[in-house]
Amino acid sequence: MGTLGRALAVVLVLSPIASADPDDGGAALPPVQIHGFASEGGFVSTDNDYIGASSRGTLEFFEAAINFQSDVTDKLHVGFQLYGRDVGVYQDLPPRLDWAYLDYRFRDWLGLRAGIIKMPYGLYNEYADIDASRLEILLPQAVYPLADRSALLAQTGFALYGHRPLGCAGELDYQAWLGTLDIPANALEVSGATLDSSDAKYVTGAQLFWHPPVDGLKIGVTYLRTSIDFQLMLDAANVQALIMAGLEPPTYDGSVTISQRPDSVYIGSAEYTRGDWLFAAEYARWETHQESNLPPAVLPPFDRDSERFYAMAQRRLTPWLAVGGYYAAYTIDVDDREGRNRTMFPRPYDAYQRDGAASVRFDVNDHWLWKVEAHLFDGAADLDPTRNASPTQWWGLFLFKTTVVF
Amino acid sequence: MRAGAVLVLAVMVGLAAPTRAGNDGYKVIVNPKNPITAIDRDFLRNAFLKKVSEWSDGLTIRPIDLSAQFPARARFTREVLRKSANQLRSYWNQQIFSGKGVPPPEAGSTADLVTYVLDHPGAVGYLPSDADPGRAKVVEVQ
Repeated sequence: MGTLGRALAVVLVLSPIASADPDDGGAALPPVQIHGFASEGGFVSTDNDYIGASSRGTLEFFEAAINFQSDVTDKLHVGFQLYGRDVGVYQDLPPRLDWAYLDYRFRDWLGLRAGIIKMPYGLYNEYADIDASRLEILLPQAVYPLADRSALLAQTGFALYGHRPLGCAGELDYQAWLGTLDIPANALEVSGATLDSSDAKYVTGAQLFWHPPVDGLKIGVTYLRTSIDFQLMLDAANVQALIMAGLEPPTYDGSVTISQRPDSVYIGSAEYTRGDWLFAAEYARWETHQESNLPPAVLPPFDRDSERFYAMAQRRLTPWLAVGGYYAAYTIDVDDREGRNRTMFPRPYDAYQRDGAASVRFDVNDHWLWKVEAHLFDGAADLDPTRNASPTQWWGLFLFKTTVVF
Repeated sequence: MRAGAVLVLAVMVGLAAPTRAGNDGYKVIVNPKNPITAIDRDFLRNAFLKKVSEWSDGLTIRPIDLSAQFPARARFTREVLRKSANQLRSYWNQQIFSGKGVPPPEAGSTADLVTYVLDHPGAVGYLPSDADPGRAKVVEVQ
């Protein structure tokens, strides 16, 4: 039986224990809750190919999920979700097991989750694929890049979590986790080689959110650390070039191991809601130490410290109309913000990507919504170089999307 | 043109969700076996958001909502949960699709809500201020 089969069996076999009370007057929840959503949209850019073939416009903007959940006992909650997407170059078809776990809450201040668990990172990573829960179509890509969704959204392992009131000082929410990452082969963009496999040794981290005694305000920090080996096979042309240059022996088969040990991520977050307004801002640093078994002349070891941040404002104008915008910035190397290193950055604007976005959300009813969004970008740091040989510095992106949720 | 007409009709249907006329005041009720006589507003908020799950004596909290057709729900959501209806829907979408939990059950009538509260020792709910709580205990929100 596969992972999916086991998850389904756990939910369906255990759920009858939580049968509805016939005397509840029709108010009880069914033993198994089923929820889902489906989205379709499109996007087009003025220049450059972003996410997919955006420069010519595309309707490859489909996402869907369905989940099953049950409260087996008062303290034990189980569930799993299937998720599929066809979003430009990012594909999860057939659908994959998105999350599946057992959740046992010993006390309000201590619970344990085990299984495939959504990974906390900042304010929104756990909810990054839940279109209906936010205004924007694209979360700020500087901090929540679509390209890393498959790798960063969930971990397989354990998590401890809890909620603690602090009296007049407010409340705390906290989580800590330890597990491994399941990185699909198509989760990484690789040029000149094929990704055979990846091996995440571990992923661990902790998140703390403080809700001070100010209505609507929460402030938090997240730390995440992982260690990953990538096994790649170089393309024949690259193998031949290395051999001809005398950098590898004639028997070299093209296999490469790239190790990122460690990847460390820090993020500070703040969100404030007041009436119909929402303000949020986050600042993150991603630190990577990378080595490989290739000669240093070909791929030297390096340390990289990237900087990512955004500031966002939203306002709900009516129960069915909300507007908002954000400014986000991503700098590949915090020590070279202007892209002076010509070896690494052929053009100065390859070193950064700044994004000004405006969004409108229209709620037809509680289960159906539409969104439109416009972006003005400065820079090309988040563009795939294999699809953008000569990217332009200033470019626009326009998206629309409709979502049904139940 | 037909597609446009369908869209307009759907919009009208969507925006015309029925609500019951009446006062939007509310009173909070618990099971008569529950020893409390008053409840802290923040605790009540966290109970309905499922951030806390136990009364002080260890009994499991079982919140129950009124359906959206009652004006009292909008006021309770605004004053106790400190969220708008849209914000509350977003909150539960986040919980549902990250697997953290599902919203409390909804009662379609005040009689159903009172029945639920009487059947579950840990239940807590709210009624329109002019509704009959029956044998359920009305508690003060502090």
